[in-house]
Amino acid sequence: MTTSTVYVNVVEDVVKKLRDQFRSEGVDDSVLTEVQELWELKLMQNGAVLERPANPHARGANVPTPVHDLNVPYEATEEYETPTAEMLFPPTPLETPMQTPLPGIQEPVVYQYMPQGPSDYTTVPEPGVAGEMKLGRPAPYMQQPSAWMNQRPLGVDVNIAYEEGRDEDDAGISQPPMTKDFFTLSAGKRKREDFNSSYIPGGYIPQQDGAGDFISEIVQENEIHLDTGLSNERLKAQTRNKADLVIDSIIKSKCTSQKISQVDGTDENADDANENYNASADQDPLDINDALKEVKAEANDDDEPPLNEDDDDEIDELDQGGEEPSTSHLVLAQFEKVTRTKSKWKCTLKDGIMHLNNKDILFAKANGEFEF
Amino acid sequence: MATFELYRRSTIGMCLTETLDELVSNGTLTPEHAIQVLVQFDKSMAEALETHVKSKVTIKCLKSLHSNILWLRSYLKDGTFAHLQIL
Repeated sequence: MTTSTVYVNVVEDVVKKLRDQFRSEGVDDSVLTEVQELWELKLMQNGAVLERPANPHARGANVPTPVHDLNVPYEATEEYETPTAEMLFPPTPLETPMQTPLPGIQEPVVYQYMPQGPSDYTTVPEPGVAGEMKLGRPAPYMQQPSAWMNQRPLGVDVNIAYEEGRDEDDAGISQPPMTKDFFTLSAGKRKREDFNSSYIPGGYIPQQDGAGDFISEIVQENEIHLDTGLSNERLKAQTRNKADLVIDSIIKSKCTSQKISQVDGTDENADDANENYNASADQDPLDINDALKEVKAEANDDDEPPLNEDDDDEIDELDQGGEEPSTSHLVLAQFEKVTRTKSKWKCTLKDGIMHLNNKDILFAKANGEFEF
Repeated sequence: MATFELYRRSTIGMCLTETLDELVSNGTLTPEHAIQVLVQFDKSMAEALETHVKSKVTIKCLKSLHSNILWLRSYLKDGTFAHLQIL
């Protein structure tokens, strides 16, 4: 049995044995299903399980891309694909004109609309594949330009809603002005911000942050006072006083509202709790280290006691080091016998999982000989 | 009955722990149920290792060292593995 088969069996066994128990406690089956799916997904992502267990909706994700997409680089299976910009902001057919920087290039736009042929029907049922079809940008083959090509202003509207005003103006103008807009729009989200700054003529940008809010109110009040005819000097004093008070209150509110939680290491007990193994029967290399260290210390006591003072500190730091990195080598097993003769150690382990060089190896029995 | 929790530190155990952490933090699962899942995992994992796995491993590490940290590392670099897998 391969490692991955054993893992899959373990997952199914756990879920099977928990199903009745959860049902009797009133937990919905969907929760257990979700646990299983997430667990299997993580195992696949880690590479511990090579192939997803037989699942009706999973197989379709591995269907190869249609023949006419040979120019497209291979895309990973849709279910596990990390979200790309295309998936987060799904490209509608109307949006594809945005990808044409020049008016002369028509193929990408055409590609989206052409009746794509019989091979597509085989992949239609998959929700993710529809997205993949639209990802096939590079296909460069020409098609006869269809009548809708001339409906470009209509096609552009969805993506550049703020340009509705301009579209009306540009209806009679030839294409180059439209392409100029495409250049600015191709910058992604930036385009909206740029547009906002230029959208309001006159250059006044209303302040969005809160710093000047109170002061602007005071300014407004003062402007009203001016109208009622107060003298300038009195006005200045009043504004200064009011402004000072307001500034003080702002500073106080900001100081008291912020409570910075301390995240540096005052409490190290949490890590120690995780290190509390069953002392009776199981052991891993760290524990073996402790046992060995004690023996070593006894042997050297007569000669150089001070040398051992710092040894425990190093091990303690190891224990309290927090989460081990995922590629650290590890053997988790139950020991049957550990013996030592002078500097030669022999141990017999059983039922173990070794994680070495990023691979998992399971064993029923292990014999080890170490000399140090 | 107490179970051996050491297998929770393996790859499969860590994946399960992460899954349960996510579900508990978004409220899908209660912590008590999560602990039940972990305990059942301990039992199933131990049983699977006993029954399904038959392979034997011999480990030899013949280089002598002075500090425990170095011992761990060269355990892997200089040790010779003879891995006999019985299917």
